[in-house]
Amino acid sequence: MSKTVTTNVRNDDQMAMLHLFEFDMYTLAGSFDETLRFTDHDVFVYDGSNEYTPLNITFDRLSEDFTMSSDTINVAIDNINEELSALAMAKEWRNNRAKISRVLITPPSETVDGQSYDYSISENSSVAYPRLEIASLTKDTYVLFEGVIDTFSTTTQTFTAQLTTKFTYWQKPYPSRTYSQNEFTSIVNAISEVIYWGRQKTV
Amino acid sequence: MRNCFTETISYLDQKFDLPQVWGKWTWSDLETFVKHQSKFLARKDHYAFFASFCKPVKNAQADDVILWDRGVGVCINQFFYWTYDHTEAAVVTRKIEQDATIMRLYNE
Repeated sequence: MSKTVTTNVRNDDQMAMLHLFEFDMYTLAGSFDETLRFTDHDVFVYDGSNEYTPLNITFDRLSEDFTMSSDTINVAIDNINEELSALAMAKEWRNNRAKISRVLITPPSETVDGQSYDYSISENSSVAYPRLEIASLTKDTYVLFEGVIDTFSTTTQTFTAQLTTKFTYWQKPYPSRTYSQNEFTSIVNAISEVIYWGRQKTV
Repeated sequence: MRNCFTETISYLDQKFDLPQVWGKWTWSDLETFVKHQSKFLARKDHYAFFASFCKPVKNAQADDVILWDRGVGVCINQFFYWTYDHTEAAVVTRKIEQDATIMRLYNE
């Protein structure tokens, strides 16, 4: 995965940065349901095909080294009046894809009250509500992190998830559960027979 | 003149066939409507108006109508809606409150 920042954005005078978050949701029966898309930008972000909802969302500092151990990252998301926790209980977050992308953009120009600005506060909406549309902007996009959601916890205010890299699959052939593997060997064996690399076998 | 009703109705009217007249209110006469909006709100006529062509739902999706005692907005997704804010004189986005009324157009 490349993290090279090209000269696209740096050739301009101004630069803004935002992050895009994607979380795949599956039904409890194991079939794909939807991808939740959020951004830490202050208005909606549209990349030409998908819209990202602005939320109070933060994540740990990322670090890398040459070891093959699984890295983890903690993400804290606004619970949106408990909507996220309600979703998390009704569907399956765990062991599903989570992706964080960083986007560097040259902010679009904007006219406010007849005054023209070369760089705006990043809003160029073509819909009824404020939205930043980045498809046509000068930008650099790279993936900061791509992995799976391991565990989550929630309060009325905040939804916190721990993400791990895909290397987790090498060490953990089935999703973490709340029971002891030693005490419930028959259950674990049953899961092992139908779960393959964290996904249910389809053949 | 603009308010949250004129913005919502104008937006929805572009996508759906909304009734042009309801009771004594004619939506094309926005000036009169905005002028008397406090009377409209006090009698909760906005609930009755949208209920005349929408059905209440629990979970929001895009283009659903969200209503509260003093206003109305349009849902963007299951989490957020937009509305015209009278104080800021601009369209703003807000999180959907749990106690808000959400309605979906019949003809959707």
